[in-house]
Amino acid sequence: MALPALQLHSVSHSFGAEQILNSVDLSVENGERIAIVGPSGQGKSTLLKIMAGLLVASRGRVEIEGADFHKLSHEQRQKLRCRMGMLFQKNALFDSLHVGENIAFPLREVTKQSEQEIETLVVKGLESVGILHAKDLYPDEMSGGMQKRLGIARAQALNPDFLFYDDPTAGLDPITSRKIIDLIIDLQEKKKATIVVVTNEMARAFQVGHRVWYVGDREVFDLGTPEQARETKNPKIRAFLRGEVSP
Amino acid sequence: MTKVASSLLTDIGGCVLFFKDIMRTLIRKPCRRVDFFDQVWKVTVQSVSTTGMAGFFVGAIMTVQFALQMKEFGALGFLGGLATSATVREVGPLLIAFMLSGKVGAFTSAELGTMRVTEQIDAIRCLGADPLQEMILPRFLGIVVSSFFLLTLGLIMSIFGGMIMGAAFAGVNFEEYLRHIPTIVTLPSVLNGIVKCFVFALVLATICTYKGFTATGGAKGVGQAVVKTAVSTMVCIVIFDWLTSFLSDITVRVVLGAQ
Repeated sequence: MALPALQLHSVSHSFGAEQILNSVDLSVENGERIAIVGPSGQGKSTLLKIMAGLLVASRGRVEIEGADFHKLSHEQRQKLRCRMGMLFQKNALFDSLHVGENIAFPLREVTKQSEQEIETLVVKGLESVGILHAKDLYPDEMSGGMQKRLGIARAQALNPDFLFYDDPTAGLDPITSRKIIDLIIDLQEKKKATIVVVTNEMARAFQVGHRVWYVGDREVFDLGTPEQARETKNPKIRAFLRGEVSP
Repeated sequence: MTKVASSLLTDIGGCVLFFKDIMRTLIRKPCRRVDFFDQVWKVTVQSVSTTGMAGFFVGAIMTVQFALQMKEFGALGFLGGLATSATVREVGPLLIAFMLSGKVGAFTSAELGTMRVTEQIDAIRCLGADPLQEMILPRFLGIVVSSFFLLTLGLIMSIFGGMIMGAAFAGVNFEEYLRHIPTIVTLPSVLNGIVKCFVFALVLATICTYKGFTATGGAKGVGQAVVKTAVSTMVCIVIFDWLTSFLSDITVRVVLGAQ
């Protein structure tokens, strides 16, 4: 039986005295799409960063394909990181590099490809997200939607097996939001990567997720498929998903 | 009081561990040559005019101060040697360190801090690259290597400033000013200056990269990191100045004693 792509074992995390997550046990299967929802400030991004290995949980462990991420050697961890991509909430684009160089960065750092091959991959990456015309612009010369697309292209540059998206539709209009989620689904279906998406938009969460997780009150609830999530019996979660004031 | 002491100890410990990580990265996987030379060039070019100007005036000030005393003893012939010796041993390295701290230290800390709070450093890590190797090591080495170029420039300018001021203020011609420099500025003096310059550069490079790399809390956090860099480097440079003077004095005594 194949190992789950990602597993959380009794993961707890605190910032100082404030506990954010308490004993989370969950797993993600290969090629699965997980949507994480929940009220602001409840630890969605923290959970995502723990899953991506950017944050070390205060307690518990994160296993990627059965290996404890933080117990791997430096070289093994770097190798595994090359199989991951992440879109940050505020994009985290390299503002001193232009669009093409942002995508070329991981290719130059990690692969041993020639400049010509890198150039081809940059063009292909920009084409896949529809911003090839902006190749020579700097990130702050682009609109919010274009920056998100660039962030997605950069996250996909190494053709990763695991992709983490932190609020990919934040600050975008509904049409652009939908296009971004369509793009994420489209790219995921081509590669069959395992993806985890944090979002505050319920419609987008139900659109992207094979399963929906709810983060709140220091716990993470697996609500199942979008259909099952809509039928949840928990009144607080149901109210949140429907955008109602909780009872 | 306990909180301040705890915060100070945390900072010192953090800096030491960070320095250890930088050294480990340097040994395991050094940065690319192009990044290193780029940083050396940037740091040198950024500080060359201010260091040159400050060196010139420091030489001039030292000459004026020494001239006032030496005139009374009729020893103006030694003016150039003494002024240069003081600059090489003490004022030169200290001046370079303060110059770099105010300009390059603050800039590096702000640059790295901004990258940290905008998650660019996390992004580098997430893209399979090592931020220590990519961002920290070139800047660290750039500061250390540039400080030697700047020290040389500062010292040349200080001799030049001293020569002009010696001629204008004390009537010591250029030839006389330069004559006793080789006899008074001995090899231990030069080594002392070089060791100080190296130690100050290490202290500055470690503190400014550490403060920037660990900045938190948006624009305010970056501002605080820059202020902390400026204050910490000034204080640490003075402390390390005392320490290196003390240790070099012991070393000279031991060596002379052995001879």
